[in-house]
Amino acid sequence: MRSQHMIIFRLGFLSLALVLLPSSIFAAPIIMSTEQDLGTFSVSPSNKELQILPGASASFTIRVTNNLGRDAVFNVGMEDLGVDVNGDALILDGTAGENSLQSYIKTSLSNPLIGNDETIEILVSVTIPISESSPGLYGAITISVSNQDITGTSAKAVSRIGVPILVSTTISPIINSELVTFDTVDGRHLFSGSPVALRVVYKNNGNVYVRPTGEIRIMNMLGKTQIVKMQPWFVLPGATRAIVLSTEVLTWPGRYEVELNVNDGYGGHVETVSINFWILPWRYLLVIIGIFILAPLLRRIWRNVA
Amino acid sequence: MEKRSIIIMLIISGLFSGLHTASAYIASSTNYRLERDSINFSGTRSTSSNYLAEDTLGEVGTGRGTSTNYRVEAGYQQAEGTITISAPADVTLTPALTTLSGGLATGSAIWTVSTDNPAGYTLSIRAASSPALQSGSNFFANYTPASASTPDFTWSVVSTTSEFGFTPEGTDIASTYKDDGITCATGSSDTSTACWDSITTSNKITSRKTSSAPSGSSTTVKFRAEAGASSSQAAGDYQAIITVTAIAL
Repeated sequence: MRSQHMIIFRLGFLSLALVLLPSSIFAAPIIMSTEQDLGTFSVSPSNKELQILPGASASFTIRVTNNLGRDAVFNVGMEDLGVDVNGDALILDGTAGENSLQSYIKTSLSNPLIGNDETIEILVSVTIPISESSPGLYGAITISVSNQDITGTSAKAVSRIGVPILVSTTISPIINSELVTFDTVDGRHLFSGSPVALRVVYKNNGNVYVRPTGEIRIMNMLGKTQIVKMQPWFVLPGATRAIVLSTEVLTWPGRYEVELNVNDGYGGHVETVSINFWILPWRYLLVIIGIFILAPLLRRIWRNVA
Repeated sequence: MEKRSIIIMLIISGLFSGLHTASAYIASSTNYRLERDSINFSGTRSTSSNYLAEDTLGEVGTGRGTSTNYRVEAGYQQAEGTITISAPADVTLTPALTTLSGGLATGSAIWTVSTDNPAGYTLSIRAASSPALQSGSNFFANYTPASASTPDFTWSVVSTTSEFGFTPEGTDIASTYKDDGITCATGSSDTSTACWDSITTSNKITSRKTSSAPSGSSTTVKFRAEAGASSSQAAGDYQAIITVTAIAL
């Protein structure tokens, strides 16, 4: 009997250890992929920011992983970066950007052959000439792969990843940015469930990119607060750009006070704005409606009984 | 007693089972969240007037590990952000077009992008040449929407011309390609085979995701090539080189 208990406890602790183990081993982020990731390639970092004064250089490494299911020759290129009407970065492909970085970028490889399931490193160096006067320069490394040629009328599909490189060439940039709007994604303030998606729109009026950062505090009617951290993201000069952040699951029904604190990422002034929304799950509404309907009925029955 | 023991252990396991799946950080208090930590023997953030660098030395088991079911980026400095794109096969437009009576050929490809970038990604499309679909000196003209800045809700090519165009479909398509069931660039619907546009040598953003997409987000790009009945399109194997680019910024 005693040994049976020991076995049960050992099994219990073993299962507990197995459950806890992954969180302690993998301190770095884990990206789970599914079957649709077969036939892919990956690039890291996904973007890079550098501060290089005119006359100086900096270098970094880009890792490219081939999971295409075959060995492949990749093409590495350099382009300038522009901004579309929505404030998103756009590769200009052969056209010189307003703050061109393309000609200052060099890579250690241009057409690497990467074996299936292999990762290679490409050294990227950026040299800013002493004559450069622009406070910010924007370009991208492009990594692309093609398929074997096919015949017939066809669209040849080239898949490409662009790694934006944002260079600040001054130690005293003009930072002038502002929060434009903060609201729920669809503008509604009544939800039957959560999480709730929130949109932050930020405008950069300065002469270098900004990377807004901050947090969103979501407080329920009992005063319990949930914090959603806003990781730094990028807004290029002259651009207005949006990011969507999501609350975690909000368990309590009722009114939520939501406060956004955002700064430009350069230690500038913090802007604060508040909104509110209601979470009213249908089952709670049904219970409340039911109470309203049933209460007079029960009262009448109680009176009759009395 | 045995039942109680089992129940207690199951409850404890159940309480802890959410820890490693729900947390995007490894430690927190009311004042901070620690995104990552590391056991190593050296490493620092170095700066000068010309550069900034962060390094970590002495970690064990770093680098990327992959299988068909997972991908791990182990190591303190690995968390720089990663972007992944699928590489679909080339698209054969079918049926083959006859030169005498013209016709419509179609095809599609799916691009899936995943990234841990908090601001998401954009997906854009461009052609290597203008017009996009060429065969030697012969070509299909780029599709011409009735309004230059707005895609056509319905594909329409006059009988005297031959044109080639595309439409993107998916949950994250750009607002330009969303519709209200009648018109494009308005509304929030994604009506199937609607909102046709040209593919030019300048990148056009087809999809935009403004939050991270760790499990992947797909965009289907549908292509159409139509030779009008009176267009006298020359015979040949026409080809367009279409580049689809993902950027995470």
